[in-house]
Amino acid sequence: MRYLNALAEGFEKGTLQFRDQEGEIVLEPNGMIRFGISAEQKSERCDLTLKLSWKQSRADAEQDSGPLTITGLPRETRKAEPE
Amino acid sequence: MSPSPEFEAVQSASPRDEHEVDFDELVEKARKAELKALKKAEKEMQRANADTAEREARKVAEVEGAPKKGSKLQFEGELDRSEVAAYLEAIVRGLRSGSLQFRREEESLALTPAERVDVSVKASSRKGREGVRFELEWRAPSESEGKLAIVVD
Repeated sequence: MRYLNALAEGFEKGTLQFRDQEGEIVLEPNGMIRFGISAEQKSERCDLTLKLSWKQSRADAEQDSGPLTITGLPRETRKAEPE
Repeated sequence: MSPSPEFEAVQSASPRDEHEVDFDELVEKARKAELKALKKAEKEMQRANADTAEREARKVAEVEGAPKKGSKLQFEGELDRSEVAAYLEAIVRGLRSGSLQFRREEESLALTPAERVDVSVKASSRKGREGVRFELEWRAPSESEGKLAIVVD
């Protein structure tokens, strides 16, 4: 329930922060959210799945792709061409 | 005293024998038709009883909130952030109270979350979309749970 409460709060505020031993990811839900819910009662198990997705904000998308950088090697570090 | 030849002639000429044969056939046909109708009525009654039993079971399940075995309910839509938060809060309330009720048009599903629930969370950001997948799973309450069993050797 703690996780679901945090998720609800994150959607309310517009920032979701996830962290585990492998790293951290910060999501910023915005605009219309695609919300999918599936509740299922099987013979031995019950399952409740929530799928939420949204378009990344333009600024984030640009930041993710990152600027293109091309760096040429300095003249002095070039290998001497055979004479 | 034997009947007179004239009487015999009249008797054999009468359509009585033919009529009796027809009657037997009619009786047989009627009997078969009646049997068929009875079988049909019996089948219809069985079907009606099964429908009624199913309807009654569904009513009981709805009233008691008992989950139907092998039931599934799905929903997909576009919501704003506050609507998403409201749904998540409703799920939290259901988990706290021990009863999750889902309803969509005519369909409904009631789940009884167990004390112990397995949780799986996945957050992703790729190809211009961000998303979260949240999964809760628990063992369904068995019908024999909570019943006392006494075994005598």
